[in-house]
Amino acid sequence: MDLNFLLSGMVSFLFTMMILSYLLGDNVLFRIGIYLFVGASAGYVTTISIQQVILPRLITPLLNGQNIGINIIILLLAVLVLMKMSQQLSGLGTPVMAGLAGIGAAIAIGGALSGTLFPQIGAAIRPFDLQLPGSNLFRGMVTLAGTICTLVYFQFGAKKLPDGSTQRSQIVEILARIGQFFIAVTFGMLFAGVYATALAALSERLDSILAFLINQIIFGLFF
Amino acid sequence: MKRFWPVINTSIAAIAGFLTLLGYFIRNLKALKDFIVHGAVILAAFAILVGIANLFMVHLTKIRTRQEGNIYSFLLLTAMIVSLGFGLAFSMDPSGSNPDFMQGLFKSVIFPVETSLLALLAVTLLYASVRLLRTRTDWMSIVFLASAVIGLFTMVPLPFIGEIRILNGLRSFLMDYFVTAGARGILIGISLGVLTTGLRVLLGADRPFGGK
Repeated sequence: MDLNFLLSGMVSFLFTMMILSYLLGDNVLFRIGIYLFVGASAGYVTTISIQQVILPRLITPLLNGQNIGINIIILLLAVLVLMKMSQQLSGLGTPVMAGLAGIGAAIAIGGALSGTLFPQIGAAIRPFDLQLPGSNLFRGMVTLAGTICTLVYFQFGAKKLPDGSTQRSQIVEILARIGQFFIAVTFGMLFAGVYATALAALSERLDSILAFLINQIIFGLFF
Repeated sequence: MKRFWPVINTSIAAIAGFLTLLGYFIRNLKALKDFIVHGAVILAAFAILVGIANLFMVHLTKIRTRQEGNIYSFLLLTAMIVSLGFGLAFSMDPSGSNPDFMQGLFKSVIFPVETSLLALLAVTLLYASVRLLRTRTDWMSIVFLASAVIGLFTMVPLPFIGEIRILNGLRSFLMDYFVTAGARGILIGISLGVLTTGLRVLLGADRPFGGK
């Protein structure tokens, strides 16, 4: 029997049992499993960051003399980021973190615009182009109305009444009610998808436990 | 000086952000955007190291001050040191990176735990839907659960019965008209939210990097 395979199977079996023990309520085994998982994941992420980003993109080009000027600037900025670890020097890293936040925000905006907003608006318009194959005016109108009502549901601007309570305008209230129906159906279908995925994961785990018990323990011991 | 640094930090965020954003829309600035993103990826990797170091210090302090649950902190640090130590030792292998340890760690710890947590979700979701019906029986909950049941019963052919035609037709109708519209509304809402939050950071109304 391959020792590595047996060891990996045993560790996997133990971790699965520790996590699934949560079905009996919060317990020591579950906590041990979760803390070990967080530690191992932290080590894994650190190794991947060093191995896949820092070494090939910064250190190796520096050692090979590629783009030295630019890479030295990035290295200096990286040192400033590392200053965040120290309480006294953490202020030195803030400008670099500010730059990162700005770049992250810009990437998020670019992604939201080109990845979601434009394609979704395009898809909402497409059924109205009757020259396109498969276009359906009625479906286009219903989905467009549903999209608008769904968006109106998330409109929380309201007038303040004399008694101190707040109320949305009548038309917004009606559209929001219709939007609520669309949202309920959508979340129901999403729930079904997530539940099916979770069931598939449960059956995969139970299958792996059974396979380990039968193949490694029973067959390993007696045959 | 107290006022000077927040202004500088906000300006840096705005300039870096707007230069990156312009790269999306002006073809001549695409190379600049790619260069900025290349640098940001490296700096983000260093920021991850700072985060992990912070996690390490928090749990080390818990152990040193003998706080409640310090045994769990000890386990966390042990797992972190072992995975990091072995991972780095193998990655420094002169014959090239040795992925065996990292793959083993992923297959025997990370994948089983993540899948088991997802498996727990099956039980938790079932419990949550029963609770929903018991505590909040309004029309929204009923529509939600009915839609979920239709979705589940039409996802795969049922044992002994196979496919239920009426339910399949209903599912197609719901998907084509209601789910498409609802999902589109939610997606557009999310991207508008991302857009607003991003613009607030770029314009200095929000400063996630600190400073008033």
